[in-house]
Amino acid sequence: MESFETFWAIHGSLVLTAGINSLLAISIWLTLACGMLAMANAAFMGIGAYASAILTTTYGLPYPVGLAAGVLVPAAVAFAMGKPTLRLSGVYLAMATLAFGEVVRITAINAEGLTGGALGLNGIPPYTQWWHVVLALVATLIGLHLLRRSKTGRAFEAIKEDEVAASQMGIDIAGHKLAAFVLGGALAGLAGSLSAHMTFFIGPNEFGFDRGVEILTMAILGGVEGLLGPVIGAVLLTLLPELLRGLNEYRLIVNGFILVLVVLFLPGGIWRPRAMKSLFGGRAAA
Amino acid sequence: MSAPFLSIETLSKSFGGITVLTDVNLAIPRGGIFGLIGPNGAGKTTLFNLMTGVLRPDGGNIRFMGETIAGLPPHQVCRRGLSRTFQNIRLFKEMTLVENVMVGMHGRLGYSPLGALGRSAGFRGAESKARERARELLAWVSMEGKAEELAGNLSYGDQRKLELARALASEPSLLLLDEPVAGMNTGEKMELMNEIKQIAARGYTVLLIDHDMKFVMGLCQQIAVLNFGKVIALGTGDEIRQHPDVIEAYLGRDDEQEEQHGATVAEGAMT
Repeated sequence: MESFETFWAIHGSLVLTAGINSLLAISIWLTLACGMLAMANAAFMGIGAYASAILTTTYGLPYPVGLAAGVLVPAAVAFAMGKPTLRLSGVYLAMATLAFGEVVRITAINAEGLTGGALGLNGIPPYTQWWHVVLALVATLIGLHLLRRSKTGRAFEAIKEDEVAASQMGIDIAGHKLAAFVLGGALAGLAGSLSAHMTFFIGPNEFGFDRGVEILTMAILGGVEGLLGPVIGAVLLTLLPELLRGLNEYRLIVNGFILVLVVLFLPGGIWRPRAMKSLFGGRAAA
Repeated sequence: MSAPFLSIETLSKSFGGITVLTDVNLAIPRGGIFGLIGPNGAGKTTLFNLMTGVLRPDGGNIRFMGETIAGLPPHQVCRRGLSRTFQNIRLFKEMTLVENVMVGMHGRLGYSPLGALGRSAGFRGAESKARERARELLAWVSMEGKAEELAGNLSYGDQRKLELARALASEPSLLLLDEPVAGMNTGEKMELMNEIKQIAARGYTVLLIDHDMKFVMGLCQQIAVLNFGKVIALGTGDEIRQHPDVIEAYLGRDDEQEEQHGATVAEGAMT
């Protein structure tokens, strides 16, 4: 027990960061699983972080109220934004959502009275307990697992594979895409709220382009075919820089090199349940 | 007089400056197999796309069982009882056969996402029934043995058959088949022909497009011929075969030849 306490004291925040990153990777996985490359997740994370932190820090409201706002505000913004933009496809949707992310970041810098501007918000109460993160992640994974094995999950996959065919099967394409986008926004907002109440401080540049690319990389690296892919990608990308700490200044180079190797040799990501199933199923049959 | 099953009224469509359909009128009765033939570029697939909501017509109307369906989004057309297959096969390749067919049932599964999250009794009942029905539909096209395979691994002929099973999953009143035997060998064609006959015998109305005259003549009670965006002939297989405009559409006009001679040549070319 004592050794665990030592471990937690040293590595606790790293483990929780991995959990929050997993939530973020799942949030972009939701839109990817529905065939959309939407890059607004960092922005939704920021909206959630600011909404919750402003309520708890500036107005002194209890944490549950902050968390609720951190989920609902980005979901509402995603709804308002998704209605007109989700008609775009491919790289155009990526561009529109990236532009939206910049708008959010610049708004956070300029709305000084509310967000503290470029200096950010300081003194956020550290309400987030380790079990909050675990509960959020486990509940999300179970919920999405159940949803995937239903008509909704099949509809998402059908849309991803062939939109025209899916629409002719009676699937409301626009409705399902909007649902995936809003759900992804809510999840990113939850991750932002949990993270804000862990780090005492948030600033606008935490939720910019770099973070958006990082979230996407985690999901792609882990693999978008199964629900565990984004979690694996997130854990790996969180731990890798720490594991390579001994390499000092070469750390980032090796880090990037490993990513290139994974993308080159595992194009579908690390977690590919179907390929694994056919591999092991084939052996069992033989 | 009750409204006709499916009626297409003065329907027109053009893409940019190219007119694809002009004032197409066609009424299709309930029951049986109806054929739609015509040379390449005659507008057959465009007509299907207009009927299923993929395209919006420039003018005219499409009425299905008394309701206007022209201009409705595709998923709503599907829920009104119209289902289709595609000329270029469009399966969900990463999904199993059963899953493909179950996607086709989307509009018929009544449970809510919350019911799915809570695994309610309604959800479990609907899902197990849907799975059972999917296997039954696969059996209709003799593919029950491959139910758990991935659609992408199927042979070309089997992919076309799976499309047929998937189109049946929404329990359509009218089934649109866009070149169902294209690219199949003779044995596969015969097999599918029998399966389509059985489907029609089960009470589904079928409207199909194909180029294979033997196939269309052998299967359809009535055939409409489309050429340059217009219906030029309508009738039974024999009537179509003899129709001077049809012969001209397929073989071109030759003033020096006698009408009778032309008809014999056309018959030879069509079979």
